[in-house]
Amino acid sequence: MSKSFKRFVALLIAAMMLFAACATDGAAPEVTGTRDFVPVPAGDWNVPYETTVHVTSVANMGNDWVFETGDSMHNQPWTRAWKEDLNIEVTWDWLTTGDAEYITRLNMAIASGTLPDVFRVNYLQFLQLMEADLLMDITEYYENNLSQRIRDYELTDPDTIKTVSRDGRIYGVPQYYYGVIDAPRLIWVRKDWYEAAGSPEMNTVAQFEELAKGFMAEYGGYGMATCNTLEFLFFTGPMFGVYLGNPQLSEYFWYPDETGRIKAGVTHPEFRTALEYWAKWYQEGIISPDFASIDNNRMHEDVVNGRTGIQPFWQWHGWMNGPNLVAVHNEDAYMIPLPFPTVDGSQVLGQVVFPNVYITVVNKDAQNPAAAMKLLSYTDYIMFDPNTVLTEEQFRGFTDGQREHACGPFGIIDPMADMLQYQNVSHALHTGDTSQLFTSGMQKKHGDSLDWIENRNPAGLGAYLQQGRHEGCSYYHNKFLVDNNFLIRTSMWGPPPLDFHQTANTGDIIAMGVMEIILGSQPVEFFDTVLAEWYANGGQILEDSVNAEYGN
Amino acid sequence: MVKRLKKDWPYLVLLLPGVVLTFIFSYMPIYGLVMAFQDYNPGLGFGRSPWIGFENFRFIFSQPQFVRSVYNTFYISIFKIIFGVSASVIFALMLNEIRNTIIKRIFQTIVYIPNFISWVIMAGILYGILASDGIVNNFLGFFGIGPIQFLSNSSVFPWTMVWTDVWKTFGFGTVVYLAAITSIDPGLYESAVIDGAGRFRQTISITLPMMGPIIMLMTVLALGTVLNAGFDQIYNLYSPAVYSTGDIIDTFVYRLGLQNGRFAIGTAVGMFKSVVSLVLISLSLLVAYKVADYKVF
Amino acid sequence: MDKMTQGQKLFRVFNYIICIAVCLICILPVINTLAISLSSPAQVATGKVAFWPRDFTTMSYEFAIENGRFLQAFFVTLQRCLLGVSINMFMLVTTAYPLSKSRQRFAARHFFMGFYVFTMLFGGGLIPYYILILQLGLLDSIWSLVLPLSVPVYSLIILMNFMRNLPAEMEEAAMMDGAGHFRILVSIYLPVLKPALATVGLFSFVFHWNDWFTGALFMNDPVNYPLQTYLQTLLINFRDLLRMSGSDYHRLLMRMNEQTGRAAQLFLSLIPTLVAYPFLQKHFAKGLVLGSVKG
Repeated sequence: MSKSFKRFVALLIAAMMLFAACATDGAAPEVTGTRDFVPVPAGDWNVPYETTVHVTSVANMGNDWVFETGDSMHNQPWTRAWKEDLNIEVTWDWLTTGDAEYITRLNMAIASGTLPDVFRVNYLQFLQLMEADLLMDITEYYENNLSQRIRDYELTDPDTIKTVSRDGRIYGVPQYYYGVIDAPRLIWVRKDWYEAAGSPEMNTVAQFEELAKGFMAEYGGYGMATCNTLEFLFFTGPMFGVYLGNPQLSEYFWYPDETGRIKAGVTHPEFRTALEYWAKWYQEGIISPDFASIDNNRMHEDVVNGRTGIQPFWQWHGWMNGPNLVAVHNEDAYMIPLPFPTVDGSQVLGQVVFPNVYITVVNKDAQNPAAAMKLLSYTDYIMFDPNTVLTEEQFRGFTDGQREHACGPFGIIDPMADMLQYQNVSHALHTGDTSQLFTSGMQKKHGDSLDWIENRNPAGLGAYLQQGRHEGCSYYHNKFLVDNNFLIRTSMWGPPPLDFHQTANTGDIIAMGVMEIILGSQPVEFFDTVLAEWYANGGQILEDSVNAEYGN
Repeated sequence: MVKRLKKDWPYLVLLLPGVVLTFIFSYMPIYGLVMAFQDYNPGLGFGRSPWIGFENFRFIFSQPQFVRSVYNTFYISIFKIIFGVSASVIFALMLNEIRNTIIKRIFQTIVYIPNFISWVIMAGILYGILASDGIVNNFLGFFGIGPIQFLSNSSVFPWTMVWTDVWKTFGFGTVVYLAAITSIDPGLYESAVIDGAGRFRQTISITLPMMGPIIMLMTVLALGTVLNAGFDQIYNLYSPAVYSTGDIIDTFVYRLGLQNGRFAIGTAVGMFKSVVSLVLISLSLLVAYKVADYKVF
Repeated sequence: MDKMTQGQKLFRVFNYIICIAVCLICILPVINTLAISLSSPAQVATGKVAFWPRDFTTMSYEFAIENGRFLQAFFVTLQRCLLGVSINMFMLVTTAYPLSKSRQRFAARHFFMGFYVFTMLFGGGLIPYYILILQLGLLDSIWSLVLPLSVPVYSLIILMNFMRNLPAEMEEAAMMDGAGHFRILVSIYLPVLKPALATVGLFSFVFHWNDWFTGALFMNDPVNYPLQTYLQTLLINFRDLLRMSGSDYHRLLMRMNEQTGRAAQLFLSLIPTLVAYPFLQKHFAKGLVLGSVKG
């Protein structure tokens, strides 16, 4: 016994040493090279450096990114192109997979003083870094080393650049966004069921209820998909003339009441109408008796499993549940978008929040900020510049397998991109004339749409339902709202005021109260009490600070 | 002193590696607690972030939701301990009555399995079982009860948490207690039989008292974690409908962090929890020692 | 005992029924999940998959394993567990031995006990911890996952109490023979510690196997994530992962979806513990019991 245990101990130690050797060998961090200053070549952004410039950065990857065999985030079409075309070598200090992990890790890097040269932050981190004086004033490089196209984004959207400027100096490049056409949500309906019901008009809430009840009578289950965070139920606010945010994140939609004071949607009188309807829907089974305990995953499972045929969602539902529905049921089981109905059948408004979320910033100690501007310009050039000529192979290299995001913090989006894309793709699908598909994104969505139409490949459903279903696609509905200005923009047109961070989870108060009312344990009037509690525990601070910063 | 060192040095040498590593990894970062008294900005670090005294503590205690979450935490934890221990002890006693050792072993293994399943997965399973048309409600329906909204009725939710936790973890206790029962000196029972005590009588007057120390240890260790009422479990099962009774300290702080990335608040709450745990564990050790003359450490 | 009264018979039957019912309650949900992981999505959607797979398919498992990162993450975890359990066991034995001595024999015992119990309650939080790992140069190294918490206090208490309960004569006899502490520890203690080591070893293994947070925090490249860290990100992004499978997408979705995929994951991550546990169970329980009492 004692002998075998001695042997065991000896083995243990041997194993430890062996693994120690392996571990240190395999996990040795790569040396990131020099970060010396390299003179910037004269001329436009696309003139390559004469000597190689090293830039360090970090990135958050998606689990769905796919690289070609042998490639990795460290060596892939983007990094190779940067080296070849601009003579810039980018190394990643670290990589994460997941938003929460990225934010945590970046906070660690900030706290430990190991920030890379260039990285992407959210507004709160931006403010904290500004206060700590860790960001570089990049005004000079913004003006001299960034492409004219990106600087012209200010013409489309003059507000976003202001959010990263202080006293006329610029401290970051906004990532921008795909455009207003993205924002309005829609109500998605099972196509096979809807058609079996005779594709009835759905302009009023009453018609909507009738359809939902019809589905329930025919197919069982419940009427409309919702989940326990209330996020998706709050999407239906516009049906009752009220505009709401996500209570779980204590986010609100801010717009003025008749006196001109900016107030959160939940405090507007129309919200009471919504509450009445929701409570009624719960009673009638239009929302699931279990909705208060159905989480996000389960909600989608219910949709896929055919427990409900209606789901309020963003314009990209075709990527979300479409393919699963087709696989589980039949070719026509995917959901199609409809505009939200309203109580009196009047035109619904699409709600638009301030769209910019991320900012690319440069470390104060970085040696080559101009290189960051060149890299940003390069992404825009590849992805959005109509004058760029790429072979199909090149383009696929940059974008297949979600690799359009693999440029990390050097990604930037043309704020008009989705609108232009939709116009040109739908033109091509209508007429067959593909000459205007000048960006890779357009060609891809066009190809994907055709792939569904011609080959019934469900991977194309997303693009088809967003762009290709002609008068019935989500961007058709949203473009209609944008073109006719049937939009309501949040009055908080920029990042939240700093005072917002002095409050705790105000959204909880709203969510709890709303739940009680919907579940029927309190009458709608109870919401007065809820609001009073909300105002007393942070709501007043929020309202006052929004009015101070964004009011007239 | 030197004499003592001469005698004790082998002990100290043995302790050295563990103490060094523990000192480095558990004591060196402890300075982070100062954050609880700062308006912490990661960019400014510990050195330059402004000191704000007890402001962070004042802030959290001024939040009605936090005070409520402290109450909920104690409520859920304490009932989890009470019912968890009772369920394990009772089931161990029942298994002990089974003579066939193979069946006994199989039963033990089966009840231990739910322990290994993470709450993320478990939550998915529970959603199905506890839905208004799920197995449990169908079963209760036979008796004309319900349907009960186990996960969204705020007065039922804490009990759902208690019982699902008992369900998931009692197997561990059962294994331990059963082993404790088997190690009881059979002589004790023999003399009891001579005295004419029946099975039930034996259980009450011999088995249970002999299990005393181990029950005590398990309870004392559980009390040390009374302020962790089970983040993984509740986070994966709760919703705004049950915040009033189901929101615990850790879930409250998590949502706070989710929204604002407030490290300082999180640290302040952590410190509050540590101090309360320290008090609780000291108290329970004292009681265990005074009442049962039982030393854990 | 041989003759059972009517009441005792009744009790035995009743007892068996309850025990079986409790076991069913524990195992059926698990079997249901297993059945879902082996069924096709269309069958799952009908809600008829209970305890037996319908339209049997192993696609969910193939998908998880073929995706190269699963095996890679599995090996990282294996490495971590071997290293972590070894370190834990070594530290626990060397720490528990001195602490199991009475205060009379080892004067500083209480000080060191307090030293360890304190760590159970107080910590400095994430940021200083990260800075420490960084300064020690352990970032992106497997050592950052196995060196911290090298002395788990819960296990320490169990092992220490176990040693306290060993008959004192054993050690005294060896002392008489002139054996030093190290000799005693290795040749007298280690052989009889088996049940206790099985117990704390299992705890340590389960901890290293299940911990996912530090992996995401200290590894610089997702390629080096341990299994649970990888599974955690997968759980969030399963749909994305399915979506990327290109032209075979439809065929894949006919055979699996998130629901079945997630169910399969459960079993993949459960297998090692399920395989190891029954063998350890006997020692495990004994170690725990003897480790709990200081008589």
